[in-house]
Amino acid sequence: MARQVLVIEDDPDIGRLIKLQLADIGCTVKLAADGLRGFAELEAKPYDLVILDLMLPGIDGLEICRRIRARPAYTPILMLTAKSGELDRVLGLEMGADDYVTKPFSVLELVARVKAIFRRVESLANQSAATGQVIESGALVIDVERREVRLDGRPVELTATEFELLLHFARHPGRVFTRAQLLDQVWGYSHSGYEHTVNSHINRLRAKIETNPNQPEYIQTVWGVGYKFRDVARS
Amino acid sequence: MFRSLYGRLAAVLMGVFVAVGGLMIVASQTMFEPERLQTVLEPNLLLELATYLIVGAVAFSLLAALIVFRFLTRRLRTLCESIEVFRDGGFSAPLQLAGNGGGDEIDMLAAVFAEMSERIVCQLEALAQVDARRRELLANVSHDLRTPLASMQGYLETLLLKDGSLTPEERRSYLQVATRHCERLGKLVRDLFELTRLEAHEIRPQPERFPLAELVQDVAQKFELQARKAGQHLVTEIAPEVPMVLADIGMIERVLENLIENAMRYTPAEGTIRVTLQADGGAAVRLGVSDTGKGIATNELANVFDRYYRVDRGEPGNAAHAGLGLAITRRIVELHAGTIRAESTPGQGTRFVVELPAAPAVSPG
Ligand SMILES: Nc1ncnc2c1ncn2[C@@H]1O[C@H](COP(=O)(O)OP(=O)(O)OP(=O)(O)O)[C@@H](O)[C@H]1O
Ligand SMILES: [Mg+2]
Repeated sequence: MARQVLVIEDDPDIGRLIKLQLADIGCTVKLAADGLRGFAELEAKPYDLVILDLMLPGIDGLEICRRIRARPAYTPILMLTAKSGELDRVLGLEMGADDYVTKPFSVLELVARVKAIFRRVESLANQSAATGQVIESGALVIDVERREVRLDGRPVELTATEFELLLHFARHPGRVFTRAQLLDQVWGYSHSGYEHTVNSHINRLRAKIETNPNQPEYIQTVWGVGYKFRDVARS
Repeated sequence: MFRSLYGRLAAVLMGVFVAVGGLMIVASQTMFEPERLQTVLEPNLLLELATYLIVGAVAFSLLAALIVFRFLTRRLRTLCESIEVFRDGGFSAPLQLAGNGGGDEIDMLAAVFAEMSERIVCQLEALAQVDARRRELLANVSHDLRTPLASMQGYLETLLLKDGSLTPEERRSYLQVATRHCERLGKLVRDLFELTRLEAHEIRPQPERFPLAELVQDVAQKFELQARKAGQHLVTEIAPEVPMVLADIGMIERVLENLIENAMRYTPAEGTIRVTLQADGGAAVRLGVSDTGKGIATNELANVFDRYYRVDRGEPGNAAHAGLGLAITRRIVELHAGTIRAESTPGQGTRFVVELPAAPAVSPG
């Protein structure tokens, strides 16, 4: 079944461009020129994704985002913003957007982001249906189904992405991933400019699960290549 | 006491007082001389004497006041004149005062004026410089924005106009040119905004403790393919036990990218780009990016961190680069309380050294 995408964007050229690109990956796209109309559209029928411009006439994107999040049904949101900079990003994500793309964007990147969101939603759905798989390594226990991590029996609070990253590593112990591979396989992006998010997440993950982040035990550095999860069989 | 104007005035007044007193004494002595005693009683003579006395005193004080006022106004007038000269000269040269080295109020006033005028001249000069720089910047920006725009417009128009008569290859290549210029325009706008926001302190680093060594490795890896294609050797040398840093990962990646990108651009095939990282004492880490490229002349070295500065500005071929990279890099390093410097031997290579404070130690566990 075609995925339903709602694009709330006041610039008709950009709207048409997005529609064109998403139609190519099998989405049915509905355009709304302002926030109110967009929100009404969303009330009328369910959507798989909302692409939302931050700067809109009337009510702005952030407010729309807030209203969408206040609804009981979860709809993924991809923000489009002409402003760049950390503040806007954080704001966008704090407001509950799933991801954001800054204008001007490459259509390739936009499509990659959209696909990544779909993939994430799908894997979440699959995982909740998955069998009670549990991965254990040393003092670390990952409950895949419940999306819970325990270290020495104590629960570890991880964000969604941190969990995905840890899971990706833990499913392939001993295998070395470059940063670009991780970005591609865990985040679903293949475009430059975001790679440092990988470092940032590895860093935070280590702070949460490693006893001594200076000498990581679980997520190790393979100098000159990348990162790997500890290989119990060989260590 | 005579140094201050007030003191001098007081002295003059005291002089007047003493003089008038003296006159009084002399007059009364004359009055009470015995042979005059009878005549004293003559009202006319008494009146005459008193009149002399008063006229004399008034004349004397008038004279004294005139001297004092003349003395005062003359100096105030000279001061006024030099201020007028300063004004009429368009505030361009500071007040010239033949200071007599004295220290009275007028001298002080003159000194303050002179100081003020110097400040005004300095500030006006600085403003003029800023303005000139702003103009140059604007000229550069608009040139750098127009160039890619012109190519984009040109190729796209050609495509529309000659659509029927173009071969698919031609069409594709025109589109590629337009896209390339579009990307260039995008990079320029992004860089300009980034630099402006960094300078206005609108972007703040979001510091995290992280091993810089890993980031160096990852960024170098990103450039490896490109270096290999260009026939260059990209080498990383990471010392063991480099302390962690407390920094914004994204920003530091930008620093690394800018430095490596520059090094690669100015280094010919077979050249080597070396990225080094080591501890600098316990409290800092030192990052080096060196190349074996064409180098930078000593007199240009200090300027490369200025925004829009490019050694080869005007030369064709490098038009895609606006000269913002190092300005952004320096701002980022400064925001992290670090330092950056460049060393170069023209014809042999360049080395950029960044020092960043190490993250404060945290007990493991
Ligand atoms: N490694 C190097 N070797 C020789 N010259 C250099 C090197 N790095 C920088 N320069 C000189 O310093 C100038 C400024 O560098 P900067 O990175 O700020 O600008 P750019 O690389 O020309 O443009 P941009 O970074 O905005 O794309 C360069 O144009 C170049 O002339
Ligand atoms: Mg540069």
